[in-house]
Amino acid sequence: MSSPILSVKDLSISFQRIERGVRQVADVVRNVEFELHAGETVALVGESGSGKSLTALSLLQLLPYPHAFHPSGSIAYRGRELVGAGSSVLQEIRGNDVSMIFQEPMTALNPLHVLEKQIGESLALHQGLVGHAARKTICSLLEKVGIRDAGTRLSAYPHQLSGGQRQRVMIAMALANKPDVLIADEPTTALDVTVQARILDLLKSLQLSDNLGILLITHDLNMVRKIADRILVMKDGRLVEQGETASIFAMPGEAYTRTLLFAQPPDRDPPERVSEPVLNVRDLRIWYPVRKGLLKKTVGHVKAVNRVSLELRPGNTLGVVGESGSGKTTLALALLKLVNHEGSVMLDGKPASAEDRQSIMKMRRSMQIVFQDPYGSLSPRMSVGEIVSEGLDAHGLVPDIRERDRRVVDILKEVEIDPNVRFRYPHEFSGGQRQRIAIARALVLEPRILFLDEPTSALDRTVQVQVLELLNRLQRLHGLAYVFISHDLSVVRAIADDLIVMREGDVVEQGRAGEIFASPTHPYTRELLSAAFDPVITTAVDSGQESVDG
Amino acid sequence: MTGQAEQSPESRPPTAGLMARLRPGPIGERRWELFRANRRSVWALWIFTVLLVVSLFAELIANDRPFFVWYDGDAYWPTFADYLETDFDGQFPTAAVYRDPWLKSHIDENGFAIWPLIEYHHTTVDWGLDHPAPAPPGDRHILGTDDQARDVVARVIYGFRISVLFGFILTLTSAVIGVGAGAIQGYFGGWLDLLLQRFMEVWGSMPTLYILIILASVVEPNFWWLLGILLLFSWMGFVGVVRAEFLKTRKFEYVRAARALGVRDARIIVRHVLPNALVATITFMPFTLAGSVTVLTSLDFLGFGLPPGSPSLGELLAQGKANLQAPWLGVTGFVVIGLMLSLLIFIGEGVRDAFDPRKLFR
Repeated sequence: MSSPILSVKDLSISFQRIERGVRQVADVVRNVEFELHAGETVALVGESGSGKSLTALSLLQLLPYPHAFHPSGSIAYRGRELVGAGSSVLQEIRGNDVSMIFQEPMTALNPLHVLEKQIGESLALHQGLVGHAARKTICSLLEKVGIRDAGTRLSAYPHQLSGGQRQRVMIAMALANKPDVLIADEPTTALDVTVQARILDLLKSLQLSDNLGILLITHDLNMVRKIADRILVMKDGRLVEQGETASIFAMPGEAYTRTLLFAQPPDRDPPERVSEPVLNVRDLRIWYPVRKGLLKKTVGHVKAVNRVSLELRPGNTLGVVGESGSGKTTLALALLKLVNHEGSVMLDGKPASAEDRQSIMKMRRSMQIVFQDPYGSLSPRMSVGEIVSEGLDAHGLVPDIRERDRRVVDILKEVEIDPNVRFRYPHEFSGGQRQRIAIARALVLEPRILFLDEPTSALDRTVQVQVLELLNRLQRLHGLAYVFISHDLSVVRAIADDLIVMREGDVVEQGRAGEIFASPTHPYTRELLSAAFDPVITTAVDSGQESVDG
Repeated sequence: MTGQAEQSPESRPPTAGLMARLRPGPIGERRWELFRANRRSVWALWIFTVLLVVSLFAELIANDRPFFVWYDGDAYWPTFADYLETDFDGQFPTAAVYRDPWLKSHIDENGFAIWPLIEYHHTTVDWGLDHPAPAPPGDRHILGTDDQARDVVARVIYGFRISVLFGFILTLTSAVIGVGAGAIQGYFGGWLDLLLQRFMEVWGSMPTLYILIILASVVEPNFWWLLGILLLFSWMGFVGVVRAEFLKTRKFEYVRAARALGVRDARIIVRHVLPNALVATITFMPFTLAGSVTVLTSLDFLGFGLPPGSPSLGELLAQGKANLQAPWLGVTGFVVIGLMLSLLIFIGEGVRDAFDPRKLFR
C-alpha cells in the first residue's frame, strides 16, 4: 500500500493539574503507534477508560490543552506534523481533511440551527460556498447519506429527525469537505440495532466511493468484525495488540484481546417450569390521550403500550426486546405502578390494583427495578450503605441500627462488593460496581420479581459478563423472576426463557425464547435478529430504508 | 478523607453513618478547598466574622454604662443589671446615670469602674459637647456625632449589627419558605405548579414600597413588622432556581428507584432531590443577604424603616444628606455600607466558586 495518510508515532498523553500548589501528572496514554491508509478501516477497541477516545481526540488536537499535553510523540497527516501545530494549520485540517463524528448525535448537533445551517457552516468556512451553490451541495450530501427529500429537509431542526437520521446528518457534515480521514467515535452506540446496521452499511459504501480512511473507535466487537480491516487493541492507555481483523479474531495474541473478543454471556441451565405464575398480566394498556381544540376533546391516543399480556414464573426470565420508543421501559414502570395504566395485573394470584398505601407498599416489596445507567441511578450524595438500606428504612423493616447494618453487609457480600466500602460515595466506584450496588439496593427488600431495564447496556463487554453471571447466580439462589429489558439481543439470547418483541407499543411476537431465536415468524423480529447477528451486507445507500429509521 | 482512610471502616460502629452525615463528605472537603483557593473570599470571610462577632457584643464595647463597678467592697455589673442611684449612695431612687459627673467621681472615690472602649450607647445624647451638634471628629468622639449629639461610632456598631441580623433572618426565612414552595411546585408539577406560578406572578407585582408606606400610617413599623412585610415578597427569589432543579431531578433514575422502593414523597424530596437544589440556593444566599441589607438601609434612608431613634446605617446616610456641612456622617455611612456589602459579595464569590460543579468535578 502507498504511504499512510495518517501516521501516529510514539504518542503519549498526560494530564496535569495543580493541587495545593503541587503539580500532579497523570499519564493516560503511552507510546501509541499506528498508521491509517486511504480506503482502510482501522478499529480502535478497548474498554472504557482505556484511552481510545483520548487518542482519537488528540489526532485533531481537540484535548483541553494545556491541561492535557503530549510528553512525546508525533501525529503526521500527509507528512504535516499536528502535535503543537498552530491554530491556523489545525483549523485548515479539521473538518476539511480530517473529520470526526461523535457518539451522541443529539448533542453534537446544535438544536437551534436548521440542517442547512449546520452543514453549510463548514462549507462556507473551508470552501467559501454560500447561497445557491451551497444549497445544492448540501442537498446532494444529504442524498448521499440516504436522507430522502433532502430539499424539503433543509429547514428541519435536529429534534424533528430520528436518531438514525441525525447520525446521517452528522456524517453528511463530516463529509461536506471531502475529507481523506474520518474519525468515528462510537458512531452507532446510541442507536438501535437495525439503524446501526444501516449506518454501518452507509459508512462502508461511502468509504468505497470516496476512498476514505476510517478510524473507528468502538467497544462493539460485532461491529468491528463486520467493518474493520485492521484492529488496534488498547488497554490502560497502551496499545497491546494490532493486526488484520481476520487474523486477530482467529488467533488473538494477548490474553486481554481474547477476553475482549470472546467474552460471551454465560450459559445458564433452563429453570424448572413452575406452573403457578408469580405475575400475570392481561391486556395492559398505557394510552396517553391526544387532546385538541378549545374544549380539549380527546381526538385519539398515543399508544405507549398496547394490550400486553404476559405471565412470569418464579426462577424464570422474561426478555423484552425492541428498539427505543417501543414501550419496553414504560411497560416495566407501569407494572411497578410508577405510571398509570389500565388492564389487570395479578400478583401471586391476587389483583395488584388496590390504591391504598398499605397494599402499594406490599407490592413494592415484591417488585424491584434495576436501571440502565449506573451513574444516574445512585444518588451522588448518599453513601453506599445509606443507598442500600434505604428500602429497609422506607418500609420500616429492621429498625435496629446494628441489625440493619448487618443486612447491608450481607447483601453487599452477596453481590460481591467488599462491605467495607459502605461508607464511601457512588462516584468512587466503576460502572460495574455501581450496577452491583443498584442490584443490592433492589435485593435488600427480598423481592420476588426484579425488573432489569438494560442493566448491562452501559457496561463493557467483560463487565457485562460478570454482572450477568451474578444475576444468574442470584436467580438460582432466590428463585427470582426477572423481566429483562434490553436491545442487546446477544445478551437476551443468553438469559431469557421467554421473549416478548415489542414495536411501537405493540407486541409483535411472544413465546419461548429458544423458538423465537431459532425461527422468528414476524418480519420485524427477523430484521432485528439479522441486524444483530448477521455479517454486514454492503448495499446501495439509497435503498429507501430510511423510513424505518423514523 | 484522610481521617477516614486511616481508620478501618469495619471497626466503626454502625452509628458511624450518623456521624458521617455531620462530617463533611469528600464533596464538602473539595468545596472547602475550592473556597480557600479564593484568597480574597477567605480574607473577606475572616474580616466579616470578626466584625460580626464584635458587633454582637456591642453592649460591651459601646455603652453608657461601665462594664464593671467596684463600689464600697461590692461588685456591680451595670451592663447586665439595672441599679438605682441610691445603690451608690445617691439621693434619688432613680436609675443610675453613670456618665453623670457626680456619680462618676463618687464611684472613683469609693472604688473603680471599668468602662467599655466607647463610653456611649447608640441612644446616648452627649450634653457636654463643646460644639453644636453634629460635632466633628475629635478626642471626645472619634468619628464625631450626629445632629442629635449621639456618637457616630456607637451608632455604626449597633447599626451594623441590626443590618446584618435583619439580613440573616430575612435571608434564612425566605430561603426556607422559597425552597419549600419551589420544592413542592417542582416535585409535583402539573396544576399545583401552574396555579402557584400564576399566584406568584400576581403577588410579585405588588408594590412593596407602597405597602410599607400604607403600613407605616397604620402601625409603627418595628424590626419584626418590617421583616414580615419584606418576607411576604422576598421568598419568591428562591422559588425559580429550586423549582427548576426539582423539575430536572425528579426525572432522575435514582428518584425513580427510590419511588420503586416505596420511599415516601416527603422523604424523597428531602434526601434525594433537595441536596441538588441546595447548591443553587446556597450559592445565591450571600448575594440575597447583601440585597436584604440594602433593602433595610434604603427603607431607613427614606424614613419608612425602623422606628425613630433606632441605630441604622440608612438613617446615618439620611443624616449625612441632611447635614452636608458635616461630611463625617455621610462618609462614615458610605464606608461602612460599602465595606459590608463588598465583604458579602467577596464571600459570595468564594461560595459560588466552591459550589461550581465544573470546578468541583474537574
